[in-house]
Amino acid sequence: MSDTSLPRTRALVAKTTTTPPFALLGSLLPIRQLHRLPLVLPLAGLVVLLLVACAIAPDLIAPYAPTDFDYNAILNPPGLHHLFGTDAYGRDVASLVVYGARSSILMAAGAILLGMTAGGAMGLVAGYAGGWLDQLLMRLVDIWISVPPMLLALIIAAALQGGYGATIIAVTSMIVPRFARVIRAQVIAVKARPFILAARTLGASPSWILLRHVLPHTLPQLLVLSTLGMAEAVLIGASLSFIGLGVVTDRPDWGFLLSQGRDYLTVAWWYATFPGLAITSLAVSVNLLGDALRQRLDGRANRE
Amino acid sequence: MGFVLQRLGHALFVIFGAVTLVFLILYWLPGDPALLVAGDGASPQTIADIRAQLGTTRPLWEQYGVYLWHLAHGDLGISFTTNEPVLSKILAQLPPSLALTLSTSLFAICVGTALGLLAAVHEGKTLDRLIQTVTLAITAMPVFWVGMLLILLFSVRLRWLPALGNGSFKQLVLPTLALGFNAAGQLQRMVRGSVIEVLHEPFLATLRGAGLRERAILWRHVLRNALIPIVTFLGVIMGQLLAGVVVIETLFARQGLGRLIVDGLSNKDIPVLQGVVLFAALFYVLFNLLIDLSYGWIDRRTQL
Repeated sequence: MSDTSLPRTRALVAKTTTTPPFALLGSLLPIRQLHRLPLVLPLAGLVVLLLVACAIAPDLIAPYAPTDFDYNAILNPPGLHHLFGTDAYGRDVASLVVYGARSSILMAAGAILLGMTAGGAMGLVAGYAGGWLDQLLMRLVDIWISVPPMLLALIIAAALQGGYGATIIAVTSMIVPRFARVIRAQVIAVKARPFILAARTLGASPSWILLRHVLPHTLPQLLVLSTLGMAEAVLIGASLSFIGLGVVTDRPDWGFLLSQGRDYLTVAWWYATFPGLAITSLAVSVNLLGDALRQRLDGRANRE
Repeated sequence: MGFVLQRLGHALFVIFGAVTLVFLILYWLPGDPALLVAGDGASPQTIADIRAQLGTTRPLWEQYGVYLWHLAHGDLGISFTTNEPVLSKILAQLPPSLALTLSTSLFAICVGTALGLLAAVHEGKTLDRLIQTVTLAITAMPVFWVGMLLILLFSVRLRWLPALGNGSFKQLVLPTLALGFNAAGQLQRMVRGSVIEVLHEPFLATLRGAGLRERAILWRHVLRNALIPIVTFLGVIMGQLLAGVVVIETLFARQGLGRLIVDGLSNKDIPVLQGVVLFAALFYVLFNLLIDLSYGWIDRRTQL
């Protein structure tokens, strides 16, 4: 793991692997020290817990339902009755943000889960098998990342006719190659260690070795990539629904709320501001947690 | 020389792969373009004629073959909706997007490098923490939300800058900032990380012992040695810019390639989509190829 965190080695990795030189974990660089400040991590944890709670039980948290139209309170600024103001139909923006958590977080989590499974499997197989299979899979990854990521997500979302599932798959498509590369690098490192040879000598089958001996050693990477990828997935999902390809319009979603708010930017600053704040606070918190996790696991890997 | 050829070959292979990948995805784009071209109330005969004319009823391999054949002759096809050649459509929309990408890269490189150096030199001190915190927040914001906040502040409140359209320099400022803050933040992190690493190297003590001034050491030796990871990361950022342009052009109602994509998706204008994505992939891969080739020039120790 340490080999992916040193910029100097990363340059060498970039030289020996193939274009475009995606730094393995490099685009998710550490925000060192910030999370060592007191209260920062508990606060980040609290934000994530709160937003997950919104996703699980929005009806318990939101003061109004997302269908509470109030034509006497159209585009009201934030106040006592409506903490984040109201939208063009008199709906409470705070409640819309709370209800939006579910679709945004579920989408990101679904994409990460899918991406982790597909990318992890690709990396495991490519790294362990080596040879032509490795070549084939890695050239596929090269092609995959040569299309600028959001463009690929856009046309995939469109080809799948938009909607919730399409958004998840589109976001997944951006995550898979990164998982594949990082896990492959880790598998190649683990493969050279003596206990793998021992297992092979004792007659263990390749699939047994992969699942019982190699996979556990990639768990730290999987965990860190998933946490940090979560923030990115939320951002991409929001971009897709902002352009209008994302989630179906009848359920509140942060990106969709933002695109609605955009139309009222000149008259109602609160409409676009608060959903964006929700996205940002989730992304910041998840990044801080992921980074703390990464440094802890990194330290362990270095001690080994 | 062998290295250059090998890299060039790989770049061509990747671009060819990307063309195929995008072709396959767009082949499954739902909806019948002929219906959109024919318009409302067209007779079934007209629709069938248009379908035959567009060639969308032919089998996949035949369409792919025809497409490659035309591509090899520099023909990107004819737009389904406007009947113009795709190439001239793209060339017409290229300048505004290119201007935005260039201004954003320039902004990100200047601001990102300066802040990264500043943070690295003051590692662990208040200034470093401040820069880190701002970076953490700005990179966690969706770029289009940053854009909306900028519009709110500079167009709606202060009335300093126009929010929409393109053409003048003033109209380029807000989109550049919206995209540039994020890119600069990421670059700052990268610069800081690699400069700090160089700052801990023993050869700096030698330079200091030799009586070189701190400023000379920083600019001539530290930055030069930290350059490879920074340049590598520029390739990653370029990919994000190409994608961010789509969202930002939508938000600021700008002409450009992003507009072509969004319109192409809603009109099922497959040749245009294919052409734009091909252009983006070509640019992205060649940019990263140049970065790869620049390593030997930046650092003589890199054996090409």
